[in-house]
Amino acid sequence: MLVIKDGCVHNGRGKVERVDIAIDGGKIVQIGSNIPSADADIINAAGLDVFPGFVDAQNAWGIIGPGWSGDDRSEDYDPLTPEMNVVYAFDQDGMNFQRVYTYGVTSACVAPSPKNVLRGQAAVFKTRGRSPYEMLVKEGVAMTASVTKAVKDNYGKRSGSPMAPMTRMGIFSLLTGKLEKAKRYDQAKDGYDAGCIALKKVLSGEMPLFVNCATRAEINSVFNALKPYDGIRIVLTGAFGLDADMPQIKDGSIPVIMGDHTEAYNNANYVTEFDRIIPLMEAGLPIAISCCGDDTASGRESLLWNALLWRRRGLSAEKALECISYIPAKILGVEDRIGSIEQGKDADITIWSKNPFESYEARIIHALISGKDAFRKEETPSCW
Amino acid sequence: MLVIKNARIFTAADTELDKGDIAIENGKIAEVGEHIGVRPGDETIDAAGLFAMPGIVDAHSHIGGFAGDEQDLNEMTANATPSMEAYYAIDVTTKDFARVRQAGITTSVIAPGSGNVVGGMVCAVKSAGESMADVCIKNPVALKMALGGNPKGVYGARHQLPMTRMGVAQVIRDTLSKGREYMQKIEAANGDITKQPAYDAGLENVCRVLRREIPLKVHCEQFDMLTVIRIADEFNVRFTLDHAWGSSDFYDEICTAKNLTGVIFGPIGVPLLPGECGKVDIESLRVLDERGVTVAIMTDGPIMAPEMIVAQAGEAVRTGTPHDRALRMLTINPAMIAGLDGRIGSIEPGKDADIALFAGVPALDVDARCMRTIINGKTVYAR
Repeated sequence: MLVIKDGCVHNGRGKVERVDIAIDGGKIVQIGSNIPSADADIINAAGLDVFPGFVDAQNAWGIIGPGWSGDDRSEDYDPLTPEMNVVYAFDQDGMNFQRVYTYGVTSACVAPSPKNVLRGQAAVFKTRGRSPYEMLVKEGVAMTASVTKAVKDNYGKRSGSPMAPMTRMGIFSLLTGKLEKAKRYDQAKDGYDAGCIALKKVLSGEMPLFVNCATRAEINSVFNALKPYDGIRIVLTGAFGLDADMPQIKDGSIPVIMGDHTEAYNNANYVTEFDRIIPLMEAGLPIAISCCGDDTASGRESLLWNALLWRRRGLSAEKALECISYIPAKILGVEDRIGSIEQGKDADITIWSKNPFESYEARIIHALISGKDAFRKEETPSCW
Repeated sequence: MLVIKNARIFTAADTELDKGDIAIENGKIAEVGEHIGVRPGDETIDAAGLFAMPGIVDAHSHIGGFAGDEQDLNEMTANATPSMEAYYAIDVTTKDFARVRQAGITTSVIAPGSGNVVGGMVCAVKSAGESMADVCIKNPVALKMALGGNPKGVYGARHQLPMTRMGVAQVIRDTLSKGREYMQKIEAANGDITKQPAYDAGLENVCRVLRREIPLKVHCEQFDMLTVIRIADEFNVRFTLDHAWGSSDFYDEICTAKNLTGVIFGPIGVPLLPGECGKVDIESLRVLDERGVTVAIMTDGPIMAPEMIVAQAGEAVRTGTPHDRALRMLTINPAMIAGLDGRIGSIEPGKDADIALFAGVPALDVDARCMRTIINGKTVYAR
């Protein structure tokens, strides 16, 4: 057993208290004052700040790199590839090499690139480990889609042989066409079709549909095009043009994963109405902060940086934490295992010298992933 | 006269004031002190509770020249284009300029991109104005060069020089050698126009480097920086190491390089990939600074949003750089590297009145936010 003693524990759901955390078998087994620790290993966290491991709601870590022939983000022979499962692209060394746990990130949802209309199925992984399946928290957490410029650029601008979609009309025609096909699909009658089989789960609501969108027009088109499909659980990702007054957003029925604001290359993220979205976050609506968007390959600092960017616009420190821990875990459907410091959950815990949601002087000291310190020396041989 | 009252002032010069005033006259800083008298008719800005610092200088940027699909900073029609001037690529009416003003950046050093080995001439521009003629305060600042994957990727795909790092080094040495030959011919002509070589705009610019009037501004990472140090030594030209990821592997080489004008580090927040992007070590700034290297932090804008220049200074603080030194890396240091420290980069009498007022302490408080940006004594952004 391991006991983290006397830390200032921010549990990821708004609670801050000075308590001990007992960890056994990779899980949090007890939280409370003065946990007996005679036989246990002890981390003395007096004067330190303790947080749940951050959850990156969408990234490409592990499917880009680490080396030669390591880019497995885009199966873009066809704009509709719902059958693709990111689990088979994920290379633990690609993830390990990023060392994202050095900035507190202990889990990430990994998704195919946003260059396809239907990109494939995302999965949540821990950020350090020896094999994809050991690191896997859950596969099939979402079907991912994209309706942005990234898709149009990918297909409509192919030199010599442009193909659909070249326009937003093309994107939505392909998207709704494929959904209609899946709706009518009957394997006994129509024969094997992996895409339709995957989309059945989306139509029934078993698997949410994460839609990468940037502008308000794109968001409106998503709502309009998917209106006939009652069962689909939509989640907006990127969503820079989000209108905080949309009823589906205000009532929390459609969760949002806000995209990256640390780059400025195409100014797509310049339109975000922070002042109108922050009150919704503070009110507890399911709005997460991430570094996703058309350019998902970000660095280890990027998730915290995005949370701090919202801090600068007025978001409170505990809510900023929640927006990169419990809320993304909940949207991803993995809140039973990760995203907060609560009894029974995975012991994904980071310990800092100060509160990183307040001061740049905060340094990370420990990053526990399933109870094991990710700062440990290499255990398995690796060429990286 | 305009007086900023009661601010905490980081001057980036010798004095720091917990509470003080800054007097501005005719666009210049007239006085900095604990209490400056205000006369009738003087304008005042109440900065009580705010943190005043010199307007931030971004030492490596491409704002106004990369706009989504359109770009005007990579003339990728030849591997060496020393005659190109970033000056003509920059559109000061783009959103990029509004965004830098909001972040407290008052001057950006804007360079051609890294598609070519020799990209062209770099200039320095203020963040507010109607045209380049209004905003450009120095041209040229440097001659841009780029090593590694960028030029290799552009020309290698075409089966043209350079396809390799050998080729990149050769293009640089060819350019400097031709420039030296051109310069020697001009000198030998001794003013006799009939004996001078045919005018070559690109080589004229290379001569400015060889005469040490301006440095090379070199995009390089990891061991590529050793190539830069070696060739700069061979030709006795000044240079800056830009991006400079992996500096912590070569402290001795960097710190003893006699022609080094400065290290311009960043941006961080990138995925790590073995090779050029294998080591991104902002912790090296602490050591380089301690060992006397003039260090600045860049956004590479619009690659990184302007406010991330302060966030990166915050990361320097997180990794051990003292806070006041980190703020210098955003102000006086980049001004020195650009040869503009006589005019910008610190809050001192006689300098341009370029000032950023923050709520909170930038690079220390994560929620510190720019509340007002002043350029040449005029407010160009206020929240």
